[in-house]
Amino acid sequence: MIAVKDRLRAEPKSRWRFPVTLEGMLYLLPSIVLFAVFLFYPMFKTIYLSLFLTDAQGNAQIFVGLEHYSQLLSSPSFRASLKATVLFVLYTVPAGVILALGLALLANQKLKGIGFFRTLFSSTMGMSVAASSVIWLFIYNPAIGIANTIMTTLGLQEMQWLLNPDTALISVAIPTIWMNTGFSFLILLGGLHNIDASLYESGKIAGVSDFYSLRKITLPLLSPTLLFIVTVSLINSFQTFGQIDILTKGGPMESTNVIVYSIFKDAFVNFNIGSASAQAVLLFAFILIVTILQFKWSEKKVHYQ
Amino acid sequence: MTRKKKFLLYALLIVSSFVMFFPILYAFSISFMQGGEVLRGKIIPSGLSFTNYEAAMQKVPLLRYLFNSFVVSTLIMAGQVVFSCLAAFAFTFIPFKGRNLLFLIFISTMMIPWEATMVPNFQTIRALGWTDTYAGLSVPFFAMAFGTFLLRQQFKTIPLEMYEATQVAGVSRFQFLWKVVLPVSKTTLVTLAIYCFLNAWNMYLWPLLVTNDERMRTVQIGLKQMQSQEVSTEWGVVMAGAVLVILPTLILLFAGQKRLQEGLTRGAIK
Amino acid sequence: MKAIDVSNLNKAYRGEDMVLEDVSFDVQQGEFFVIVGPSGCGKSTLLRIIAGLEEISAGTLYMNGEEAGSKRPNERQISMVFQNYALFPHLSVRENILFGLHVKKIAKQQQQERCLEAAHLLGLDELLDRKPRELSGGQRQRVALGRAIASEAPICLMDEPLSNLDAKLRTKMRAEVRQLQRRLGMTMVYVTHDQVEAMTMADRIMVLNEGSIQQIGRPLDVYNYPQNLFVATFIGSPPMNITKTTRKGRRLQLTDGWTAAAPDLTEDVYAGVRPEHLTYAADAPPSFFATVEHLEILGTETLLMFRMNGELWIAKWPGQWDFREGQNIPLKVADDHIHFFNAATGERIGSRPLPAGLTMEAAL
Repeated sequence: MIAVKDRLRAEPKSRWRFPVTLEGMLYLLPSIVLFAVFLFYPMFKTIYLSLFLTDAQGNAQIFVGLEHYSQLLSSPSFRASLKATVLFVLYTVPAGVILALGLALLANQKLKGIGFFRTLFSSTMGMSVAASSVIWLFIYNPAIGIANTIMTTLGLQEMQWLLNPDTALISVAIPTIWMNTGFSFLILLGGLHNIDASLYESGKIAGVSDFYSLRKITLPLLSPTLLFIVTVSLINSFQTFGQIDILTKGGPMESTNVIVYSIFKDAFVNFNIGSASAQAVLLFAFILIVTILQFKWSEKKVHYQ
Repeated sequence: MTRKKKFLLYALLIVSSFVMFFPILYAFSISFMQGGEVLRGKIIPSGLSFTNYEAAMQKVPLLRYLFNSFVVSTLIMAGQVVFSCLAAFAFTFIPFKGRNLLFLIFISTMMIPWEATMVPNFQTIRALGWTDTYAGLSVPFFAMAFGTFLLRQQFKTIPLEMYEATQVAGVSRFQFLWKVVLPVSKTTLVTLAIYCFLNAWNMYLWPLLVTNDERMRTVQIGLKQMQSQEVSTEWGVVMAGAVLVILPTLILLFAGQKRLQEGLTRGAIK
Repeated sequence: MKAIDVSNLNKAYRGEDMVLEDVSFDVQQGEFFVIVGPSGCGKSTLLRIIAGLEEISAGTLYMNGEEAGSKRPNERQISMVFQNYALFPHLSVRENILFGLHVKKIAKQQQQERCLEAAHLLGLDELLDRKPRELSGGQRQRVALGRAIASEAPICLMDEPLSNLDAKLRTKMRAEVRQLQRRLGMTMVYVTHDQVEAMTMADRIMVLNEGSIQQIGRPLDVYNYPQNLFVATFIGSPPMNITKTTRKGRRLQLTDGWTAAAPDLTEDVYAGVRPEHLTYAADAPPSFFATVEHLEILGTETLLMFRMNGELWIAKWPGQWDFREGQNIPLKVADDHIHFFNAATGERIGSRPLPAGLTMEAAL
């Protein structure tokens, strides 16, 4: 995806020409400056702060080395938070991608009125975290929400959804999957569009079943798009915040206290910025490792056309 | 396609689209209900009454929030599109030394979770005196690796001969960008713009951090505020607020759906 | 006067093999100069060097008497037509033709005049407000030509401009381009891999292979007196038939019973015969007999294929001939239609001097 090949060859030097490197830098300057100020500098600052005790304003006061890290790793609360994060990723990413893929395959059929269905499938892309969470908060309302209405119609027991530590994380995962589906669906549908129709025709002539051509034609050729979606979903899932803030505030009993929420609380509620920074560094390391592992693993499995 | 298969497909489509779209319908439905109806757990409102919408507008300055969100999203969109264009152009058409390395660095920024930088960023914004300003809400997001990547993919599809033709004609590089590259890449630019706008509109954590002033809040934060104040009693009003928040983006999404689909695919795939 | 003068030009990309090696030639003002060679021979690179789109590694380039190697493309007074036309899809035909003229500070009025003139020459008058995607391949090609004409640059460079057209249109455009060049008096450097284009359009041809010049000359001279085996087999369709010879005393034997006077040389020799010089020996004593392997009757001419020492040879006769496959037929070749090449170097043996007064400079 990021292999770069030189398309341009060295151009003739000219007597009065503006140096090419300088010109290139000029175009890149705005982005570089902003990345430097709002991404690289704060990243290093975060690493720096994670080694200190700070005051409430976030000024480094006492150097404590790796103490925040060792404290975190031995604290049951942080371990619970890690577990919640990992579980949350496991709940949302595979299910979300498979759901989006299913919808995309369904919407890729040549049928009358398919545009209408595509629009509905992609609609959650326009849903903000806040609005979605507010809606789902009502859906989950034990007394008047539709979730329990459905449960009783199906003859099942009413549930406490967000209020029960055993079901809270899954209850947050469901709206998250729902919210992410729109974007994943659009991208996967586009990927399906790009597969050459003649490949299916030759499959048809050979007389293979639909399922076989899905496995042997569609999925391999869609693999770059799938990789992209899995990566984006992973990164998004690690960074979930809004749903948690509105639906559960990390509770009940810290069962939904995922890392990002924990960082937010430590930094802006408890003003323990050193610890928050250490958690942020760990989050970064986590994402980095997962992404690299994922690319390594998929290198063999992804077929670029 | 056989009749049976067609029927099956339509059935699947209808069921799944109903399930997908139901929460949105549900919100619309609740937003028209009076207090009693909501508490009885009804699904269809007894009539179309806009009193909840009026109440939502009165309870919080929703129009002001919508306006703030609009300004911030537009600023972010403009910034991201312009900066991404410039960077992607340099990465495609200017053969300077170290270009590939720099591009790799650009792309790898996608892996830094934004939350890992938020504390120092918050401090920076405070130090600049940008809390409760449009600048503080938008400027940190102007540089965008994904946008640069997407546009570079598009720019690479422009035949090199077009660039050479402008060189032979003596047209400067910036004019080539302005007069050829951008008009030719219109679809992708619109896609990127819609994508940026939607994302900016839906931003949650950052506005929560850098706005304290009631008058500078964005609509997402306003909605959250409203929900936490009204939650137990006035669900209809809260839903009316939610509907007002999602309406602009839903309309934008439906209008730009086709373009969005085409343009996003181009970038996602090699 | 020399419009372009290239001497001892070398081109190599960083760490790679030589793309062009010791290339020297000149193009006269008003000349139609065709660079022809197989793909990968360096002909496009050479054209791009002349255009200023690529750098020279060594050697000199003069254009219109001035050193040009360090000039920018737009300072070289050239126009260029690309293989894919490089039309701007978002601009109309008019805007495409006028593209770049505003930089040259030409008055609006005059720009419009030039555009109309070029469009008229090319029969594009009705299409000026269309977009490129609404045009056929041939029309797009004309727009690209229009851009070159409207720029009024004295030198025009073309890189395989006709290769994206179908065969019929290509024939038509060949003539059109040639006529335009004559009428406007421009100097043309034209790159192609198609030897028919080279033969039919050029004042002079330069054959290029693997980065070095094989031969420069008028089309017929190149055809009649190919300098080496490469040129002999590259120019002409079907290509020249080649076979190895064996020495029989003072003569060379091509095949059983067919010998020719040996050139004064001790090395091994290849002999070559153009397909049209293999004639049917109706009354004259035949040079040799051939067994028909395959026959293609094209209506106006007949291609007859047979084996010569294991190689496939082709004879081309006008009219319609009806033989059966496997039939043994007598063939005749006049002695002065046999070309000899040094087997080791591939160079022509006993080159015939060009008839006096027929070098290009004299002809102009």
